Amino acid sequence: MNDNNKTPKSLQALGLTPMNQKARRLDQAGTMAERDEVQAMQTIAGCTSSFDPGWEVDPFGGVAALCQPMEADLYGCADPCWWPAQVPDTMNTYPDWDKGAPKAERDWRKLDSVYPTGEDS
Amino acid sequence: MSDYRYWLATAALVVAAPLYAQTESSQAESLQTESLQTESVGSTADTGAPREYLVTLTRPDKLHLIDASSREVVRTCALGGAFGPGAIQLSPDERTAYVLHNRWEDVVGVDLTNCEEVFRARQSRGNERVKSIASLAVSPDGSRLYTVQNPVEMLIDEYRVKPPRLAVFDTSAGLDAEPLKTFEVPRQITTMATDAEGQLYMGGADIYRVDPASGEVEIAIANRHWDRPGFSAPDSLAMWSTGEVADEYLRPYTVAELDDQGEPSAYHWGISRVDLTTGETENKEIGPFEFLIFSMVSDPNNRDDLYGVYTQLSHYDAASQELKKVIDLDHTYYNINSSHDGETLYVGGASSDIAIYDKAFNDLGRIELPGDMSTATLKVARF
Repeated sequence: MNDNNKTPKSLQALGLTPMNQKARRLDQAGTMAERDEVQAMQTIAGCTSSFDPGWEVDPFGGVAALCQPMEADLYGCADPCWWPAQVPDTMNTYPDWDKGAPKAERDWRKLDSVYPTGEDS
Repeated sequence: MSDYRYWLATAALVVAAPLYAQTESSQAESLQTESLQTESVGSTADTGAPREYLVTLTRPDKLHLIDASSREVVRTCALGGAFGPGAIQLSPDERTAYVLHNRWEDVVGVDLTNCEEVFRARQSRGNERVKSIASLAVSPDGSRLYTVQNPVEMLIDEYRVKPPRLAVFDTSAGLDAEPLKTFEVPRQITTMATDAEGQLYMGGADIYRVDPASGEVEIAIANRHWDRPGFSAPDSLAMWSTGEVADEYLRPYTVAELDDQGEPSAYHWGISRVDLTTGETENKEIGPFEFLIFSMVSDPNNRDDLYGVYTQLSHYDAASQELKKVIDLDHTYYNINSSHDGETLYVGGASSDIAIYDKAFNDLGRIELPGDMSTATLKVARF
């Protein structure tokens, strides 16, 4: 049997819950071929698909190897679209997030929260 | 960026404002800067020997020329446009800085002696958005500039990722430069350098050697595709091109040594290196992997002495594979560089100060800058 004709696992079976229109369509696809037709890339809120747990743990399983302090690393995460769920990406999606705040250690109070926009928000 | 797995696997507002020398705050400071600039830029009056400078970028758009001896900012050039990533390469005479800028899209060439903008390439055109992930190099004769472009076609209902390509620019093309030619290249290219013969090295899954005339690509140093029984595949972070002092392309990696059952028995730091004078390559472990390092530089007088930086400053002896010394720093720094005499280490990037240490790690002071360097390169120039 061609893999394209196989019935894909539901998102729920993979431990995922569809939260927007694209994800629901992905879940409704009857075959692998139909699933491929869904342009899943557009569901990504930031400019990258990389998503690590965040600033909680370092590669040794602790916290000592995280950037110190967080403010020293703030723009180093925002500029290259790193961990977009934790820090707005300034490369594409929130280009003016840092406006008027060139020094994170001094200006962090000026950095505001951001909210997704569009039909899936 | 807080994680060593930071590996940029994928990969505008354009303000063409003229460049101008400026300081951040008062007119008095501006006058002081002009005075320093008049006295300091260029070779020393008494000996004719070239001066040593640090060159780096702070957000939003400030390119700084810093006298390494006086530790003063002698010139600040405003590039216009937005920050990112601040990757810098120098012309062969080291008087021109080429900066990857404006949200990873434009390349701006700046004459460091007077802040004049001498080159600009806007890589995004029409509905094609182009980002270069720190990939920037200059030919040894200074006539060509290379980037790796990661294009995305911005369609109405989807983004279409197109193959990455090496773009070759003429550095005399002025302020609206377009590539002379392009060649498709492998994905995941970040740091780059050229050797004395003009061959281009590109750091990606492996380290590639490219003939810029033909676009022919070969593996110069195998990393992902190395054949090393008893070792895992290596993992690398490569954002900063700082081999200009020792004339080398250097990329650190971490690797696990495996036991007979294929389980990790030890972890090591290693380096992949290209001698940019001879084109010779090497790949070897240099010491134990006990903490993170974001960038390394070698002692120009003994290339087996390697210095690394992150939240620690460290010294490895590659010959004995020993960690010789490590100290904790005030905060995390991303990027390390060395003076040409090999006696002084400069660490920058991330926050807004450059820290200075001697080889014994005695603290020699700080240079405070008006904004965060974030991912910018800290280059050492002499002219």
